[in-house]
Amino acid sequence: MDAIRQTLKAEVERGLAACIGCNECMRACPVADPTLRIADLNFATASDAPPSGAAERLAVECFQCGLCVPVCPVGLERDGMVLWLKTRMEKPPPQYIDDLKHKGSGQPVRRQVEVALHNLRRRPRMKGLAAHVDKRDLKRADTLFFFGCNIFSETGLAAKVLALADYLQLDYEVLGGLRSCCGWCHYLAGDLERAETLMEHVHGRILKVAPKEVVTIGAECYTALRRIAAVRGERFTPVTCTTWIRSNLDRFPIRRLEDPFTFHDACHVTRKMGEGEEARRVLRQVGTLVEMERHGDAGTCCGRHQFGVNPAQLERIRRDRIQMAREAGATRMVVECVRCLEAFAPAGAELDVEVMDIVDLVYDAIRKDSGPVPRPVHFGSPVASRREGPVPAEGA
Amino acid sequence: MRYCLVGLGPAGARAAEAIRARDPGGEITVFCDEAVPFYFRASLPQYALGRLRRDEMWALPEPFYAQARVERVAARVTGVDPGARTVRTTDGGEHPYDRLLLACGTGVAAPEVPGSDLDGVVRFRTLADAEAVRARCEPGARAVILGGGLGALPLAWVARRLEMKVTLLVPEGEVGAPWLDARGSQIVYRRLVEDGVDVRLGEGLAAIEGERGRVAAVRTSGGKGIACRWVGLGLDGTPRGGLLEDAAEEPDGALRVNARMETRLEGVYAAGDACRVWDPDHDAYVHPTGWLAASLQGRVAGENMAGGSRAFAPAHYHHAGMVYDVPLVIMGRYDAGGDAEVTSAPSADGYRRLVFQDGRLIGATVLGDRRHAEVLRRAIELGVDVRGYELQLLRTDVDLNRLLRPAGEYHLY
Repeated sequence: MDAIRQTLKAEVERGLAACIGCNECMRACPVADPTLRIADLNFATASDAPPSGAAERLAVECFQCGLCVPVCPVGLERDGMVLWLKTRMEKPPPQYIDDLKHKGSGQPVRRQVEVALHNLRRRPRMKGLAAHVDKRDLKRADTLFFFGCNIFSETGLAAKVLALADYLQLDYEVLGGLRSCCGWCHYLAGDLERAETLMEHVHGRILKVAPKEVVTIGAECYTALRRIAAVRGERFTPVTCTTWIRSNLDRFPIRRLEDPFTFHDACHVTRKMGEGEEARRVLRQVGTLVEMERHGDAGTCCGRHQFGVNPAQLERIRRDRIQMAREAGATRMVVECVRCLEAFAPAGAELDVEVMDIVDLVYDAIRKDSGPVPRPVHFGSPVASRREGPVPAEGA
Repeated sequence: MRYCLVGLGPAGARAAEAIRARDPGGEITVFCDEAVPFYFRASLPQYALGRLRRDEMWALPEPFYAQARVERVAARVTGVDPGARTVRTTDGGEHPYDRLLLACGTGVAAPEVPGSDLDGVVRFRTLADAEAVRARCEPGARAVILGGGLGALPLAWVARRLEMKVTLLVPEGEVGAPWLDARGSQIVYRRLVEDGVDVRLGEGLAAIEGERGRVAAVRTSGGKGIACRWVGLGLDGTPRGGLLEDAAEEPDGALRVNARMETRLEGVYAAGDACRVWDPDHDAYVHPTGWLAASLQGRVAGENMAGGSRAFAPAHYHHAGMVYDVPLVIMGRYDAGGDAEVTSAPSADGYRRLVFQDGRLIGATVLGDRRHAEVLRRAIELGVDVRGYELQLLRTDVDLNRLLRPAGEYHLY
């Protein structure tokens, strides 16, 4: 643990020395207080004292979207510097929700009971997916689908991914549930100790499967797994579901969709990993992609990491984004992270823009008249059923 | 302990911070020509464009000086007596010290051409300069800027953003010196031309012509006349090291220091552009220029002045910034020769050039697409064995973090 803190501290000190005070990061930040001067922020970041005032507000409200990074003329990672501020807050963000505290292994007995109850409550709606929740026995497989806590997502996305995998007749394993948390949410809340513990645990679980590739549906999980693989020097390759689909796209009977759609970049995938082109390669094969005014590195964030600190601000950010999709002439906005999907869905429903994951879109584009089609056999969420309409019949 | 710091740029200010962190009781006095707090000099272009207010230029919170008991004196230091351990200022005052830091940066002398004292001959090194440039810019009028280096290009960029026509006279024949090689220089040259700058390579300034005491035109070394509203002197400065008669100096006047930032005079340190640092790898005194290098040197000097023991590592040199508006990162021994191997490749809007020695990356230039630059920097700092990865390092679409793993390190994202 000290290692990660020391690494972060050394990088932050270096960043503070390199900052030329141009203020571009603060100008790009969707939540920074305009009265917060960069000198004051730097001073608070360098100080040993817990942040206060506008610097503390930024530490709480920053959702690590990384918009501050590409605009920096000296290439600083201001998000990492604000993360350092987060780790030194006197108390974690007020909405660092209880749910997060239940994630991971090694919980006290009381929490273990709460987790078990949580799983039981979800089980009836999860159908086939329930078998994968926090399961103890893992088999060896080349492909591991890592859903983490997103396995409980109301979007039914995990089920659809497995339907596609079944269609490809893949031999795969699934890792999901509160005990298989990637730890990234904790990292982003400044709780580095907990994040590292969870990453360590997940690493051990992945080794039991000994996969060649680990497929994720959340951008946070992807980032966490990338780091686990890099730090541990493992041979498995973490990939986003987008990359997994792209590499298998010619195995699905795809038809081109008529209505144009737009794409919302996931901050952690496009800006931080530089992989925004992967989704676009898929989308261009499936139909007509129209870009929003702000896209790629300049795309906005769904605000999912803000822990709901400032609901009015989040509402504005999300509505603005959906409005941008409308202005681009799209009736559908495609995302590639389940968190973005959950964040934008309500505003999308309100403003008549269908928000869907790239998995949903590809699933829609599969020709239903050319033989067997993938069927989400695990599918069980009532919310997702409403969103998706009827499940296509198997066979021609 | 009485600490005397000459200069309040990044080196001087970071030294003051470092001294106070180690020595809560010492007296710290900082002498500076400008009667303003430490400011973000590297952001003068944004200030000139009005994107930053004056109070946003201060690089330390205003209460810092009082809280840290750092006394600022707005006076130019004219000499140092290392025997008596005193500094002299323009007002005739003599100030004693126990430890002295010379962090007085560089100065630009006016070129010895007729007309260089006319109204309308501007520089771009201080807050007042930036305000003057902004006041003189008029859309559609022409500015002639002398120099193709790091002093001239930001000024040209500002003038273009304020809709001036710009002619850049580059006597040295290449833009982006000293950081760019011929290939990098060409990329920046193309960008300048694309942005509408009239670049005259190999042409200098012969005379500045005026009307009623104000700049009206210039005559170039090639004998051409160019009508203009103002003339910008963007020549890179020379070190202001000449305060110490007995200290060893480089031919350009810069003070020589060791890795602890000590000159050969006891109790006298130097940092930033005023000095050259001993580099055992080069077997020479080198000039790691730029804002970050000055900040880090200042911090090292400050800690050592207050009894610490830190060293500046020229081999870990790193500078990131803009050359005109093209992002540039240079690091390590980016200009190494000898038995170093070099590989390079074009990228989207620039190129990258990597320098290897004994299976390790020792230096790099990244112009344009800056992705992975931080991983390259860490690989240099950690001395990672990169054999077999040489070509991958040129790409931006691979996970370079794996490189750092053998050293037990990784980059955050």
